[in-house]
Amino acid sequence: MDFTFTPEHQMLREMVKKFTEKEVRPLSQKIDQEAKVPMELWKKAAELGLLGIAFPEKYGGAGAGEMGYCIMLEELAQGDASFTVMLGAHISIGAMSIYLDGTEEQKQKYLTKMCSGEYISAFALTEVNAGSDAANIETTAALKGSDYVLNGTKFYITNGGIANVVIVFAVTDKSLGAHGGVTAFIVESKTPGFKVGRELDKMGIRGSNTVELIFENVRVPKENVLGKIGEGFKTAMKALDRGRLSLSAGCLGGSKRALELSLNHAKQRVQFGKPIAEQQAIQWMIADMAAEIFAMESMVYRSAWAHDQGMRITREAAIVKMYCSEALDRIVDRGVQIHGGMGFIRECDIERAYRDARINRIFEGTNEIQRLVIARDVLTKGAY
Amino acid sequence: MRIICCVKHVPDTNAQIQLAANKKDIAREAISYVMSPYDEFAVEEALRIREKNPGTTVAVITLGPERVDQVLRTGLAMGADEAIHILDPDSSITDPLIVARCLAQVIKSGGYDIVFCGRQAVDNDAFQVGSAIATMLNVAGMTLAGKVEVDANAKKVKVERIVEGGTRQIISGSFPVLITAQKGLNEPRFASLPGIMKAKSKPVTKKNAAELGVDLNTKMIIELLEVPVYQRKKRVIQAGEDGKSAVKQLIELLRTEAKVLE
Repeated sequence: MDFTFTPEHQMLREMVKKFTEKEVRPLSQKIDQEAKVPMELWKKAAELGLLGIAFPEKYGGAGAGEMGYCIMLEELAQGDASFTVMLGAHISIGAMSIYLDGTEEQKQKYLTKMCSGEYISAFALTEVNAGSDAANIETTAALKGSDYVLNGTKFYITNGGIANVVIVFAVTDKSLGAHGGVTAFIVESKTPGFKVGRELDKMGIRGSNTVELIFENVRVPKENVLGKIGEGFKTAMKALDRGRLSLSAGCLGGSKRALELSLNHAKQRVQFGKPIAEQQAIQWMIADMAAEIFAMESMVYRSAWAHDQGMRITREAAIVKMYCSEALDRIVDRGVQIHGGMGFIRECDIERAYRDARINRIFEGTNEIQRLVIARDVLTKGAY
Repeated sequence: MRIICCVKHVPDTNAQIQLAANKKDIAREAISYVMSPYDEFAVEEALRIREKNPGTTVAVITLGPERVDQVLRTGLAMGADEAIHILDPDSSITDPLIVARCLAQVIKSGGYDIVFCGRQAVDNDAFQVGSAIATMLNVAGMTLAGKVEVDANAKKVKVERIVEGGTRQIISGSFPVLITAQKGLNEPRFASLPGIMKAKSKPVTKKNAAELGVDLNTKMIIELLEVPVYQRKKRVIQAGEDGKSAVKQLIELLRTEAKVLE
């Protein structure tokens, strides 16, 4: 067994760490307060080639693999959660859907521009009545001449209001249900009838753009069908599989930052004549945080490595997503506790971290869905 | 034009430094290393000169054990074209004079127009290698550059130096020259992700220090390293009835003793 990172991955980490410290973290409070990530930051990430990290060089990517991608998100998440989610949604599920199931023409037309950052992408699966239960999708796509005509409304769409291209999942044959009846489409946001509805006011990751998308007779040419007709659900599941792992890398980064903030505070805050870090009650919390971070780090990179070796990691990705999002929640909770009253105040970084953490147990498949995936896999294939 | 940048792999400025058991070196295990910040200014400047002068090549060179290969990779990832590693397998070369001698020997053999160094390496702060190389190469040593202008056709360099008290001094010289980079010279770029991935396939030439044909006999050895012991000073000025004179006294002490006021 060799647990060392390659020199390229180490350099990548150093580079993203510097970028995070210099360009991302200083904006984090502002991003939260103004509920917006400045486009300038997106452009800077694009200039460094970060947006193409997971894709091959022939599409303008860097070919750094899932390992490189996880390293990047871990570091970025130590700067700002909203920006991490913006990049994560763009890379993991938006661009990734095209990379996984797109034709060569679609990749040349869209993926290259997503790697360069010219296009922002979004992934529109969820609806008011269809979240975890994707078979309930109500958005329809009907073939009229050489176009599909889309009608319906999508909800909770990350990057939806700022995306140039959205991967939209719509019903092409209601009688067939999720498997066979749902098709993925590449929809350009400039298409007539594509409307951005209200922006949702969130508890955390406030800078990440989350909107309702409305499709009113949106004509999508046949060549923009992504993958095969009726196989949209497969595309969605494959992309989400990938997204679960990188999301967990973000949880790992958020946890490391929360521990760092807590340590800084615990060493400085003096009560009863000594820094609270010297109190056993605080030390136990710190020990638990460190142990969970070690577990997260181990499982994220082991799974990323396995993925890059070509192994299938459906069960692992679900386990990692479930564990890391829950561990992050416990860690930021202890972080707030260590900070005491100050941790409850808006200007305090740990307060923001606490709010930013919560979504991870919900999006990219709720943790209840992850448990279903894990249990089904264990029950059918055996434990280990 | 050929530019060579001398770079050094130094402990991360954020690293927690502890002494090795022999008290002649720091504990090298488990500390992270970076390119010395002044060397980053040097590499950045070289890359900017190359951008303005097509056909220019930029090489990075370093001396040290296998580990320091990483600082060359960083230089290559920033955009340098090639790298040279002078191997000192067991880190036995610590005397700046010998370091300069090895670097000068290799630089001379490859040809060059401009040699860049950082003004100092931020680990040992010896401030010697740049100037020593200039002397050994018998070229102008233009130190503490805050601004560099290159006229490739005339083969001339103009350097703005920032000296004591912020005074600017403008000096010029003809190729070849050696320039040491000062803070403020530029804002070093981040190595881009494609740059990092491409660095893997760029050439790194390895040469063994022992085989350069230079005298490696050290003239200086490190006897002892000691970490400073900081003592917190506390002083209370009694205000008494007359607050004014106490304030006056406080300002005076802040100026003369604490030296935090001018």
